[in-house]
Amino acid sequence: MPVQVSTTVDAEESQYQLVFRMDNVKNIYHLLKAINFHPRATCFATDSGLKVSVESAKCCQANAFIQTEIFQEYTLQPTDESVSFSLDLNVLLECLDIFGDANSNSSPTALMLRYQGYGHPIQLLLEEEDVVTDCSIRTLEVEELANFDFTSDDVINKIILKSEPLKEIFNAIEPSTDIVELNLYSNEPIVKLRTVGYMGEVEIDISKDSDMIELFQCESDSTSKYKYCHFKQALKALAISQKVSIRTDDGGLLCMQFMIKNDYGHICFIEFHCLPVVDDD
Amino acid sequence: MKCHIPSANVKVLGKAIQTLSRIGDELYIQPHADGIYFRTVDAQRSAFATFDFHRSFFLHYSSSSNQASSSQSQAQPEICKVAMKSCLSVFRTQNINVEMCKLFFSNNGRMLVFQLVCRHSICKTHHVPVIQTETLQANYNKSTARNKLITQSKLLIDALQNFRNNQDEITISVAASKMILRNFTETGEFMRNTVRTEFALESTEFDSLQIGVDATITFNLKELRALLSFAEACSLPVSGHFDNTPGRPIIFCVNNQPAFDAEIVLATMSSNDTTAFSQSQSMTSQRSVNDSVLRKRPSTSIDPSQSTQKRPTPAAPTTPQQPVLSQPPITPQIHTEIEEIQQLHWEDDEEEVGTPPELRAQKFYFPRCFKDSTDSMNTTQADAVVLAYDSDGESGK
Repeated sequence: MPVQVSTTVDAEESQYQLVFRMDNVKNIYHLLKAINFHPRATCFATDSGLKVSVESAKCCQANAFIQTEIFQEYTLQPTDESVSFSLDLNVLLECLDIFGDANSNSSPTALMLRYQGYGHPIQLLLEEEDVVTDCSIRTLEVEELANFDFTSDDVINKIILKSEPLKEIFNAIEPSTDIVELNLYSNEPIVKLRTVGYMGEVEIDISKDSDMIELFQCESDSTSKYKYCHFKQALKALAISQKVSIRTDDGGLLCMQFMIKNDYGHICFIEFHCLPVVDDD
Repeated sequence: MKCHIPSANVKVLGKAIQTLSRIGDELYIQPHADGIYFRTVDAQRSAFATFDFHRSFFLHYSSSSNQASSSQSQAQPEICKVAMKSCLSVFRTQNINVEMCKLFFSNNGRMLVFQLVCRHSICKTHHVPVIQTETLQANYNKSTARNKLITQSKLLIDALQNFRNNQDEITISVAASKMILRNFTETGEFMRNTVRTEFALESTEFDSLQIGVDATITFNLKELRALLSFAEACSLPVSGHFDNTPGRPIIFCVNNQPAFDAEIVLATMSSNDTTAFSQSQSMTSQRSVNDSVLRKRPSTSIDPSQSTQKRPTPAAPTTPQQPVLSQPPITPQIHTEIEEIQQLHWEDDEEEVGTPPELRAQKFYFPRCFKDSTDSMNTTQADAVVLAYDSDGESGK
C-alpha cells in the first residue's frame, strides 16, 4: 500500500508538526488498549514511527512502537526539538472507538491525526462509511518518564517463548497473589514461576525441551520477585501477541517484549519494564 | 497416598470439587483401600456430600504411604481436611492442556500436593496446606427409602429454572404417579407479595418414578442445583431416594460405576406441618415450626402429639418473640463424628433446616431471645435470684 514518509514542508500541512493517516483504526486501537493501565500516555513521534508510553508508579512502564509502515501517510516536520505530547489515554481510546467497532472487522474506521505543536490539542478525524467525526483532545505537559536503561551488556538471562501457552500459565495465577517470583536456571527446570498466597504455594515449571521455548540463554541462575499488581499489567499485551521475549538483568529488572502481528501482516512491538521487589534483608 | 489421574478424569475431579465448593467450605480427603472419598458438609450441618472415586478412576493408585521412615503411617490412612478455596484454585482454569494430575502428600503429611503435568513440558504444582487430620462420615441408608426417582439431570434443571435463583427451599410432593414441585413459603407471607410457583411432573417424564408412599418434603435447593450441574457436565442421570418419615433426609446420587459415585444427603423439613401451613389463612403470624434437626444425640422417635410446639403470641414480625424450640430430639439421620471441641461449638449455633432466612437472621443476632431462660413463662425460682441490684434504686439511699 502507498506509504508516504514525508518530512518536506507541505503548504497545506505546514502548520502541523505531525500528521498521519491510517485506513483501519484497529491497527492502533488494540495496541493502545493493551497498555491502558494508567490514564496518562505520552506520545513521541520520530522518523521511524510513533512511540506511546504509559508508566505506573515509576516502577512499571509500557511502550508501544508503531512503525511508519503501519500508517498510510506519516508526515513529520523536521524540528529541533522532538515532537512529543501527553494526553489522557482513556479519552483517546474512546474517540478511536467512537463508531463502536474499532475491534471488529466490519466496515473499517479510517483515522487521521493532526498535531500543531506545543499547546495545541490533538485533532482527530474518524470516518466510517461517509460519516465523519471530528475530535479535539487537549494535550498535557510531558512529564519525565523513568529511563529503564536496558543495554545488552547488563542482560543476564534471555528467553523467547511462544505466547499462547504462556497465556494459559499466567491466567492460572490466582488474582489475589501478592508476589510473583521468576527463577531462571541453567539446569532443569529452566524456568520456574512461583507464587505464594494464603491459599498455598503454586510452582509452574517449564522444562528445557518444551516446544514453547524458541531461545534460551542463561548466564547465571537468577531469582527475582515482582509485585503481581504490576506484573499483571503486561498480560493484556501478552494476550494479543504471538511471541514474547523475557530478559532480566543483574538488578532483577524485567523486560518483556511482545511481538504483535496485525491482520495485514505488519509487526508491532510492545515493551514492558518492571522493577523487582527488593527484600530488605 | 499417591495417585495419578488421567487427563479425561482431571476434568471430572475438577467439576466434583466445584460442586463440593458450592456446598461446604472445607474439603475432607479420605483415601481408603479402594479409592478416595472427597467429602464436605455445610456450615449448618444440614447437607453432606461425598464423592467416592474408585481405583479404576486412577491410572495408578496406592493408598498406603511408602515412607519407610515412619512405620506408624503404614497403619494410619493419610486423611486430611483442607480449605476448599485452595483446591478450587487448582482447577480454576479450563486445564485443557493437562495430561495427568498427580496427588500426594508431602512434608510429612502437612501438605497436600496437586501436580498437573501439562502439554509443552509445563508442570504446575499446587501445595495446599493441610488444616487438620480429620474424618467426616454420615450414617444414612438410602436402600430403605420407599420413594425413588431416576431422571436425566436436564429434566430437573429445566424444572428448577421456573423457580427463582434466590429460592432457598423447595417442597416436593409425590402422590398418584405425579410429582409436584413448589417453592416453600412461610405462612405469614401468604398475604404478602411472594410469588408462589407450582410445577407438576408426570411419572412418565422420569426415567423411573417409584412411589412407595405419598410424601411431601421440603429441603434446600442450593445443594441440589450444585449436584445437577455436575451430573449435566458428566451427562449422567440423577437418582433421588426419600421417604415421608419426618426428619428423614433426601439423598440424591450420581453413579458412574465403576469409576466413581457421588451422593448428597440433605436434611428435610417435616411434611405434616407444611401442609397445614398452606391451608392456614390466619392473618396473625401463627407459626408452628417443627423442623427436623440435625443433632448429635441418640435417635428417638417422634410422638405426633408433641409435633406442634407452643404457638407464639401474635406479634409484629420484627420482634423476636418466636416460639421456643424445646422439642425433644427428632430422629437425626445424620451423625457426624467430629472432634469434641468442635462439637461443643456446634451446639451453640445449631440451625434448623427449612427455617426462613429472616428467622435465621433473627436467631443469629438475638440468640438469647430464643433460649428457654428468656421466656417469662419458663422462668424458674433460680432465675429470679437477683445478682446485682439496680444502681438507680440505691442512689437514693
